[in-house]
Amino acid sequence: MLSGTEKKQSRVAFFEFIQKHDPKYYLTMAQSAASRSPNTAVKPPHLQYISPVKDIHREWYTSSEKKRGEIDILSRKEDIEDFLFRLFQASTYCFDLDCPTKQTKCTCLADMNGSVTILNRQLMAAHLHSFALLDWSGQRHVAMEWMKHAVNAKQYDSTCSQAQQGSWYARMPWRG
Amino acid sequence: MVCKNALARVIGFSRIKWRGIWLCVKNEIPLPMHGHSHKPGDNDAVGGQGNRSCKDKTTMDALKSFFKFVTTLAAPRATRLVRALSTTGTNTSELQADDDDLIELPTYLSKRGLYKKFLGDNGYTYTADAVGRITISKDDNNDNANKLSSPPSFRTFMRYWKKNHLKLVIPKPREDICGDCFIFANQSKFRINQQQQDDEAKTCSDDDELSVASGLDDDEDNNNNGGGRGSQFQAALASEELILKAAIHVKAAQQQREYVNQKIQQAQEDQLLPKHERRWCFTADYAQNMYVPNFGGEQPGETYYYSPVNAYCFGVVDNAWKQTAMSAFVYLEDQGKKGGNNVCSLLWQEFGRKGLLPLFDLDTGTVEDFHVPSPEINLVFDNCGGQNKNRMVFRLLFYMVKRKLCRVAIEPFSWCEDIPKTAVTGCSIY
Repeated sequence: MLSGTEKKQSRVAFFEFIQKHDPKYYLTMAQSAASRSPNTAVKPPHLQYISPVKDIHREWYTSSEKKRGEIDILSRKEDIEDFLFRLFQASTYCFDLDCPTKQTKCTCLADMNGSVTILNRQLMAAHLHSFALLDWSGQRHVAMEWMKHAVNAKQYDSTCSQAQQGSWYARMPWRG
Repeated sequence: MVCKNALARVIGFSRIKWRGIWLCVKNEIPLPMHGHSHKPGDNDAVGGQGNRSCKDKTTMDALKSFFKFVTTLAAPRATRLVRALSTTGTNTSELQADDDDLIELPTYLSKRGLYKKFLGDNGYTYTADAVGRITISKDDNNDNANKLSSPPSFRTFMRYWKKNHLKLVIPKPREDICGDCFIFANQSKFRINQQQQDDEAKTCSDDDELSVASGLDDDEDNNNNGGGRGSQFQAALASEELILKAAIHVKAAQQQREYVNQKIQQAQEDQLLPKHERRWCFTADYAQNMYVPNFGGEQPGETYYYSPVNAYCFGVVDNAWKQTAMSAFVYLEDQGKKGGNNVCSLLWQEFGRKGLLPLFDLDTGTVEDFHVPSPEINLVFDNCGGQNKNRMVFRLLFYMVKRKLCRVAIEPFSWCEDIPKTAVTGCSIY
């Protein structure tokens, strides 16, 4: 059995041979192959923008300490920044985490397109890069802290709104 | 504020990962630890879900005792004794293998073989089929069959080796180590082992004497002490002789090294002179064997089996230039072997490339008159008897003089592998 590389090499050699000796047939082959091949350029919407954070994390923890010094951190940050830029521009509705093919009614990402400046995006990229370099438990702890903060913020909002609605000041007749 | 969907998307968290963390937040429980955290060796006694063999004390003890045994199999290093004496020399920067603590096992051992032996000692049988599939089964007939709960994997075995015995290595096989170095190192190792055994025996006999507490005669005691002193004196004398011999060996090596350096320097001084006035110095040796795929006709199929063919590489360096360039002669095993005959042929080829060969009239068998032989050609080789230090190469020296390549042909042969650029035993001048 040929290995994958050998198959590829033999295929390339075959096409080069055909191209050299029978260019017309090579052209027809190329056209028919293009017509038969599936359109892989268009991906489903939820797979079009994949976060590079996971790849950066994997690259960092699969390389040795010596090779970590050779990783270009600036280009990785630029990758994240570019991803954020494209994500904010392209998003209209957020995709459901539990069912990625469905869209939710949330438009938080689309709202950020106009409000986030270049500087904010760079800062976000830097923070995300430092998040990507955290280890297995470190990332989970940070995510847990965010979740706790979100729960507290939600409780605070609800109590504030309840207080505003149910306070004596709100119930005064001059408030309408 | 962003929603959880957007946040998980940005940080690349999947649904399962997010849900696991969210359940911990919701139920107010701490996050689970990673399976590989709290490896053995950490101060924390809490075990994780990782490699069980690493945490098994009996396995670790078995590995410890096994590697203690393996360390005793270490081959004598030719370098240690010689290097200890030669560090006082001036050319210490030329020494190879600076790592003094390296423990070299004999080259016939292998990592897989040691692992197999470890399993065999602990009641397991290691079998591998032709494809490479490994089967480890319990040997019930062995007394140590129930010693380990489960056999450690080869990866665990190697991890323990790399972590605790990093200096214990199996070197590649080599044949061009100086024989004298091996003899001295073996003798010194033998002396050390004998001394340790004597010390152990002495302590045992002292203990016996104390336990029995029987009164020996004073004369007998004196005799015993006298015999012990005599053996100690003999041992000290032998070790002194050994060190003196080694010192002579190292001194010879240093002098030979200086001699070769001198010849190289002379060649460098003469590099701008015409070739019939130059003193030449060549260093030559074979490189390690290379392997190329064999596309011969007698193969079972096109892709089934290509047995590699050995490709030999013989390098010759003209030392006259400080930035030396090597002429590499590469040929396959069906075109020639690696013997003295091949060495001579390739050297002759190199002499031809350098323009040292005289024009030879094939009809009359005479050398042209206008050829002037070079004053001196030095050939520096290593200690490999099969290739360089044999009668074929010595004959070449005569032949070079006879064919009027040079007036003097010198071969300062056999430098020690551990003392490069150094010849140890002597030189042949013709």
